[in-house]
Amino acid sequence: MVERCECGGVLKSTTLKEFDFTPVAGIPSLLRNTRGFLCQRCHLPGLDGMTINSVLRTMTTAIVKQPDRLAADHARFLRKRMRLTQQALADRMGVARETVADWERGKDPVSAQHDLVLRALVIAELMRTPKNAPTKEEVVEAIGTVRTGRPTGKGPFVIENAA
Amino acid sequence: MPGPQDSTSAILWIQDAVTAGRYKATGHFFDRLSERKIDFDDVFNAIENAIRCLPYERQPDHNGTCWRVIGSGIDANKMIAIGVEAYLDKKKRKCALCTVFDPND
Repeated sequence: MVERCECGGVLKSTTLKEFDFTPVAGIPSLLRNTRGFLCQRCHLPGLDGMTINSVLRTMTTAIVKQPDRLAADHARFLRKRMRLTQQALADRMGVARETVADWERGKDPVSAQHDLVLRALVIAELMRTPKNAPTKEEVVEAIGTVRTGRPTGKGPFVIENAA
Repeated sequence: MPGPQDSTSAILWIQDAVTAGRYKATGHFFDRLSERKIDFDDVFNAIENAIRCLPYERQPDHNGTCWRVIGSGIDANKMIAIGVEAYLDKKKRKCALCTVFDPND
C-alpha cells in the first residue's frame, strides 16, 4: 500500500537532516538526522507517531533532569505533558492558578521548592506507564537536588538521531 | 472497507493508534499546529477525551474510513477538530493519519 500525504502526493521514507519540532512540542526544538518522510508532491516533511511520541518523552526526561531551574516555557511544557490545566496543576501544587500563569508567562520564576515539586509530579506521572518509567538514576538526577540558581535562557532543544 | 464503521469503534481505534504511535503526521498537520497555536499535547488531549467522533466525506488515501474527532485542548477554552483516516497498514495494524481542522469548518 502506498502511503499518501494530505495533498495526495506519495510519502517517501527518508532521513530528515533537520526538522523544526517547535510546533509539536510548543517549545523551541530541532531534530537532526531524524527518520521521517517527505511528500513527493508538496515536499513537506512529516513524522511517524513513534518518532513524535519518543521525542516528546525524551524531551520530558531531559527537562526534568536539567540542572538549571525550570524556565517559563519548560514549566508550561511539563504541565501540558501531564495533560493538566493551569488550575489542576495549581491545585496539586497548593498554589493559586495565577501563580502558575505567572510562571508560564515568565513574570515570576518558579521557586526552588515548586521547581522540585513540579519535577516530582512529572516523574510520578511518567511512572504510571511502565514503558515510560524513568530509571532510578534519572529519578535521582531529576529530584535529587534543589535548584537554587535562576533559570537560564538556552537555545532550542536539539535532538540527534531520533528513531 | 478496512476501517471502523461506527463512531464508537472509530474513536477506540484512533485512541489506540495514537497512544501506540501508529499514526502519521504530515507537513500540513505541522503547519496547522503553528497556525492555530496548539501543540501536540493539545491534540493528544482532544483525542483522549473526545466529546464527538463523526464520519466525514473524504476520499480515504489508505482505503480506511475518515472521521472528525472533536475535543478540547488542555487549556479547555480551545476546541480542536482533528481529521483522521483510520486504516489498516500492511501488517494489519490499526493506524491513523491525522490532520487538524478548524472546529467551525
